Amino acid sequence: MMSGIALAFKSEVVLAALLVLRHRAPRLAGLLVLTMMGLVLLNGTGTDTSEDGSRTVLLVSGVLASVAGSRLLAPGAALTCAYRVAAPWWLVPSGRLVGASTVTLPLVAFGAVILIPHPTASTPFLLGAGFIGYYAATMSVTLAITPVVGASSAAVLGFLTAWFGIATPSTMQALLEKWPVFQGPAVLLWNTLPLHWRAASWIRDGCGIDILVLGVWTVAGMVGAAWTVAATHRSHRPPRGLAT
Amino acid sequence: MTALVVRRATRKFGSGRRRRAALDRCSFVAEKGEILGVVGPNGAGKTTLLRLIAGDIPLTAGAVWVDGRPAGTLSARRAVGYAADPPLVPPELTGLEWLKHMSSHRTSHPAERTSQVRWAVELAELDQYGRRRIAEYSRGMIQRLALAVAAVTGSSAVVLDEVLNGVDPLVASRLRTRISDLAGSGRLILLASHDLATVEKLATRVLVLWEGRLSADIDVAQLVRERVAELSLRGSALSRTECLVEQFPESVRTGEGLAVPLTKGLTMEKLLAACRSARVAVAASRIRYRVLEDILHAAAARKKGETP
Repeated sequence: MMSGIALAFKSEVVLAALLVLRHRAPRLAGLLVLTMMGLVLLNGTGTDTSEDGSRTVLLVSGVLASVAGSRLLAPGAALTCAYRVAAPWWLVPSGRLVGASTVTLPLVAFGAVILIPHPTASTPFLLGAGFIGYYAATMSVTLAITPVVGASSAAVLGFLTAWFGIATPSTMQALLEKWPVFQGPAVLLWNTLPLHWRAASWIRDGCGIDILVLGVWTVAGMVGAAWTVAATHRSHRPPRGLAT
Repeated sequence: MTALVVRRATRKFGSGRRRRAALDRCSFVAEKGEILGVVGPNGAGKTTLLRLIAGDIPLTAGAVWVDGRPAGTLSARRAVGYAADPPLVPPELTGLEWLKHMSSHRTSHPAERTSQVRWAVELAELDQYGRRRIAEYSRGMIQRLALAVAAVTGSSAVVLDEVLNGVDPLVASRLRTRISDLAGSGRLILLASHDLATVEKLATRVLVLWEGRLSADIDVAQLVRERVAELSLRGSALSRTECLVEQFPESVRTGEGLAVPLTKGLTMEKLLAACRSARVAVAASRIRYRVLEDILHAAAARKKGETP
């Protein structure tokens, strides 16, 4: 027998899948990914190395996560009902993250199969955890900022971090050498945010701190999403104990 | 049994010099099974009051309890179904998908959810449109969907803001009966509307809000027992109504003349005699039931009198 929470969680999963599938922006992003993969498959011109392939898949993963994630708590009905359902704080963000993943993660997996045709025996775990970790972190952060900045801005921000996040902190340091005022904060930001380079580093070296950072951002994103959903409605509580 | 307690509820918007009370020290109590109408002009605080009860916005001061739980808390919000105006519904989904989603958060078993959704679809007469995308719905259909969602989610109170706006008259008359049935099932219904006739037909009690204040709390059964004398005045008589208004402070100027409530022993004969002594020529007169519009006009006249 399905409990109330399980039924509510399932309905959030279904709602998220429908919101992603029926909006033109994630559909277009998915179509572009499929077209790109189809061309790679037809021409047989895969990436030269496994690292290049994983970087491309991470890019696809980041773009899909940010575009799909921006629909899940878009101001309007999707955001309002997240509050009105009056569910436990974790239920809506986690249910919607899972729901959107069921639609878009297969595309990431498809990309991985095509672009990384010959992974070595030790890499499937690193690849899987890296792709999923980066995808989940990007999506949950996009979820958290969407109610504040709006769906389009959140998607654009996610899209930009997916592209510019390829640069490592050392690259940023070198780039901003002439502007020392910005250099320190930029490097700190690059070391803290769940960016593309960190997932790539996990896949390459298998260093636990990278996947930990992505995991922490996933949880923080979900807590942030729950907070922003409630923020506009946060009430100062009246005193309890009135005899009615 | 008490379903709702509102004690000196105040909600202010804005900051600094622009800070303004949309609702000011509003107090009342409502029982389960009641249909409470909320009327008033634009900006009177109707929607603010409903949003406070639904837990959509926090109070600035005072308190609101729904079913004994402070409004805005998780348990209170789970007891209230709210149809906002305009309703917020996702255009990507079909009506049935939306109902199923909202209902899933209030039921614990898929079979229970199915029966709840079926009941709500019948309630709002959505059977023909359930499988259509909401993007294809007309305004009236969206309102009906909002009513269905509010009914399915509100176990103790159903809060309806202009829910029959845009609904065709035939369906609206059937929906009025269904809303009455909802109240009969032990829910408190709060109905805010500018359609005073609908509120009169449905409500058992009516709250009149004026500039954020609760101006009157009217028992509808009492209201229909009261009578109003309507005097049609022509030409120069229209400009000589001052003395009549002074003599009968509850009277209200209408487009054609005066409407005077027949209260405190006042009869039509006495009123016509007063007109004769004031040399106000009456072209026609009639007696009718007192309606909400009279109350609103009286509140407006009082407000105008207070303004220097």
